[in-house]
Amino acid sequence: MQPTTSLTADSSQLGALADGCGMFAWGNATVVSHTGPDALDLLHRLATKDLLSVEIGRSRRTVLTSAKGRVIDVFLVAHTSENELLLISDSSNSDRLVSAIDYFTIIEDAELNDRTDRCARISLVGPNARAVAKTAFGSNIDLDDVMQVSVDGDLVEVISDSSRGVEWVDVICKKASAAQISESLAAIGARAVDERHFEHFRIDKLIPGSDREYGEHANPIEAGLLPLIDFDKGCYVGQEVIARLDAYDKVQRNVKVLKSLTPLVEGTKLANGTKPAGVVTSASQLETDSGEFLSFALVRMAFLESGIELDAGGVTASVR
Amino acid sequence: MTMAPERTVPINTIKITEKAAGKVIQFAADKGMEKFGLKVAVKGGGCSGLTYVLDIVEGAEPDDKVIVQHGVEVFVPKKAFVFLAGTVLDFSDGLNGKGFEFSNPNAAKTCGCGTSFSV
Repeated sequence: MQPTTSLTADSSQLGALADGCGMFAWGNATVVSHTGPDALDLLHRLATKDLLSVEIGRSRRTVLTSAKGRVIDVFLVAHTSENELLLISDSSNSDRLVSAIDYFTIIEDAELNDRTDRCARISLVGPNARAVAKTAFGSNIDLDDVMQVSVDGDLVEVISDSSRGVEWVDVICKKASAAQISESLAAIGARAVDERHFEHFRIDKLIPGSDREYGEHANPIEAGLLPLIDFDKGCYVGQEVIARLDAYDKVQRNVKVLKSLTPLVEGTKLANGTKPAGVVTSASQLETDSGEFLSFALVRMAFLESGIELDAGGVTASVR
Repeated sequence: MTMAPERTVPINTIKITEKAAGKVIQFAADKGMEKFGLKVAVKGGGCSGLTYVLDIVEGAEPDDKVIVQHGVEVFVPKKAFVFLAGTVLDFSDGLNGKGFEFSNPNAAKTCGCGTSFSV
């Protein structure tokens, strides 16, 4: 659990994410090369999205679930070239994705190469993200496009991800090149954003986070990942469970933003009277202009309505 | 007295019933194949995570385990064998028949349609 120290939000960082182009450097995010003639077909059979239609130069985000329908990881599949994919996840534990795919690689001609330790990931987020990427890398990037460019002789992968509900471009480069690329991006208008502000923005925009809203503790529907599921694509691991949850309306919880006058603590159980109402999954320590703190929570279906007040360990929080 | 069919299969092999073997021979003949074998494998995918693969092929791959039963060569990739050891492959026909059927002692759970399993 995080300590509940409140801080005043830096409006220039949040402003860049909301109205311009924020730039967030991930400390450690999963980057994996998946190569071979069977790689795309294998992922298509394992994950929730139709991936066979992802052409070279395009990307699509998908969910890998267990046979019990719980989220193993959520990752972007970038089809970089013939028989070559780049898998990018927000999780800092690359072994989770690698070992899950490796387990299912039996007769397939496909190979995984974990590049997490060697790669840096910079996310450009905000309405000007693609415009900044175009200026920086010299080529137009449409939604869900994948672009490979050479910067001082090093390969840099630039990938648009339309699945987040905001404009989002991931830049994958060598760790040694990250500082120089960040400087170049800043020089053309990208505003560096720290983790606290990025988290605050993520919560405000209902963007589910790895090991927070989704993970082995949640199914993708309750975790707010419904747009990442293709219900008509056919079988994938966990499909039977997820289809049943959806068809029979069996989902018990859903992600919601909570507002409170003091910061909440992640992991705090929620209650409405004597009834359990869910759990806090992410909590921003930044105070908004209106003097409130935002949190993300998995809230039981009975308490989803806006304005319902919940008890979060002695702090009153209302559903936004 | 009618004896129940023997279902116990040594763990170091897989078994194909005489009926299933007959069907394989018939399908190969329909395809005009003189030299053939039955590839039995497992691939990732399906609701439960692992999906059976069946194919009539001309010959074995270098890493395949080869099992001969009832006049049919069965080719099993070594990496798939760990999921299939002890399996009986049968064939059921008629109105309620399901075609080729796997009875796999390693399968802890199978999906509704029976094409995938988990161990």
